[in-house]
Amino acid sequence: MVLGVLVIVFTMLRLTGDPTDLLAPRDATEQQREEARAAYGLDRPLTTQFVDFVGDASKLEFGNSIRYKQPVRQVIFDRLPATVELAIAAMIFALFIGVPLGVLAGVKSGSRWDSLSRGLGLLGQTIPSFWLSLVLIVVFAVKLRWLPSFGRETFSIGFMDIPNKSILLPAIALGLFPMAQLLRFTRSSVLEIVNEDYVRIARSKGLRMPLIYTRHILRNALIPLISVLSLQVGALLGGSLYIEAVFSWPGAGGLLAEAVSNRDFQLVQGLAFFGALIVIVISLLADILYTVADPRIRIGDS
Amino acid sequence: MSEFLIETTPGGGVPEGPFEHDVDIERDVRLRARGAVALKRLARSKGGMFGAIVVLSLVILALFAPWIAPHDPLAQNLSAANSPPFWSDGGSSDYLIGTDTLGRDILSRLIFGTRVSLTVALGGVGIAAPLGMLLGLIAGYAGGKVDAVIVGVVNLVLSLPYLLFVVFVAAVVGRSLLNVILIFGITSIPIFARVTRGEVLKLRESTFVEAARNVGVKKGQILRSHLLPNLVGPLATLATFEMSGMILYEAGLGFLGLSVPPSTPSWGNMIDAGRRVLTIYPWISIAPGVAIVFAGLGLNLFGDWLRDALDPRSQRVKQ
Repeated sequence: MVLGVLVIVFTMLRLTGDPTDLLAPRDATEQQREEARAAYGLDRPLTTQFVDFVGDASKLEFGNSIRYKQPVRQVIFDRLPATVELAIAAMIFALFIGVPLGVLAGVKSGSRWDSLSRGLGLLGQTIPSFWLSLVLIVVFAVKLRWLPSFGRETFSIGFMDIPNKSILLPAIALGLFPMAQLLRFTRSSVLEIVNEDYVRIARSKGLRMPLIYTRHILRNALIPLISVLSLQVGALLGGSLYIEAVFSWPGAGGLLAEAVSNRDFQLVQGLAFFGALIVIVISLLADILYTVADPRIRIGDS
Repeated sequence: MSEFLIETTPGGGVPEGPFEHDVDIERDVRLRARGAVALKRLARSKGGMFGAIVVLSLVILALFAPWIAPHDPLAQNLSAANSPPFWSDGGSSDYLIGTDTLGRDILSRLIFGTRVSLTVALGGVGIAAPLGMLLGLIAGYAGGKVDAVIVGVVNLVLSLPYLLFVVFVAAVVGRSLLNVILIFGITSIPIFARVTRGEVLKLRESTFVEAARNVGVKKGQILRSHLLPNLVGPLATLATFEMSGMILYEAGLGFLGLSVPPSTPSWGNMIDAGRRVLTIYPWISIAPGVAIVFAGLGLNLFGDWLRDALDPRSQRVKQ
């Protein structure tokens, strides 16, 4: 899996032209280019280069950032915590809005709640997060002056630095898309379960509805949510690219946006690989968690 | 590569039966009836109607942009720079939704921007749909090792964080319209392949295909009259959703300065350009986003309707 990602990143980098075109200034002579190729090991056979690349990647070694004059790994590690923090905040927002609304819409399908959720689900999928963050800034920071429009401010509890209200706007902007996904998923999942035999039996036994919700519907509807949640990690990482750039949030996503505009390719490559790695690891974890939550499913059984 | 693939199309060997002609007429009538039903349902579905209108107007705006747009999208009028939309103070009816920092008419730029969005969406799907369908058909038909390889690659690509992947590729290959189309086209092949393969596997086991096989209908004929018609629905639906996604992602790339060059008006470029003056002249960034949301909503609702209309089963249930 990880090897596959490496193959893609490597071929992408090599197939799309001579890296020295990107590294060397436009007016470099052919001889200078040759030297650059030798310095970066680009004059060796492709297979050797690939083996080296895999070796470096396994040590998370991606060379030095041109801009920061530091190892790429160091630059990424410095910025990663802020992204994780923002992603968690966005996920909390998505869960707390998306799941209850989805359950409500599924249980009372056809009601006003249902149409509201469907509208929200549709909007959440079509509104570009970067545009939403601009709108949020105009409304809540410029017009109403309730919340700051950029930056990360913190207060401390003991050893921990907890971000204050400055995280609200970016978290909402980042959480909107996963919120819509969770909403749609929960709704259809609940809709399916409401008509299952065991729910009907529970109802005919005379169990009170709240008990049926918590014990029969929610529990069964939420197990598949694990994999849906893990699928959102990629969307969160991709979204953080824009959100962090717009809100000047000091995370890895904003770093990638910056690296792209600086043409800092070592950093772009490292960040892309890191992102893919995180997504793969989390989806693996989700698979394991899934088998714990639902014993009917076994890995390798599909 | 692609030539090789096209030659091995499973539909290549279509049997020339004596009843070929009658079958064609019959199918024609059936298709026309189905089209009429679909249109009737479109008129009844509010969402589908809205979607169809949005999609149609996008196409018209893109095709006839020079005649519809009130101004030249590139013409600068610095004396009228940053004028607000007509409904707010200081706005004029000359520039209906205002001008940007260089005094260019935002409405005209939006209208010309539909060209970029639609070209990317149509081009991307135009590449991804046929190639993905071919791969899916091959995987679904061949099974075994071929299937395993195709599924493996598809799963690998689909497991990557899409946006990161696209930004990474776009940053490496550089900005141009063609590159953007190729990126979206190639990166969307796997999803079309996956959906096609899934449908083929489902259809292959279905009773009507089994029945056709049992009475001795040839492979090519089964493909043509049983598989392909049933693939149209899911794939057309997927195509609309993918187009809405591509419009969104194109804007996203434009916002990062990775899509078409700034000289071409595109929705993403426009949002990016207005960002620096967001707090003073918010409409410059807000307006293109409204266009994106409308386009996305339209395509999604149209896709929802298309799914119902093109699914033969859902038709029977509702009739």
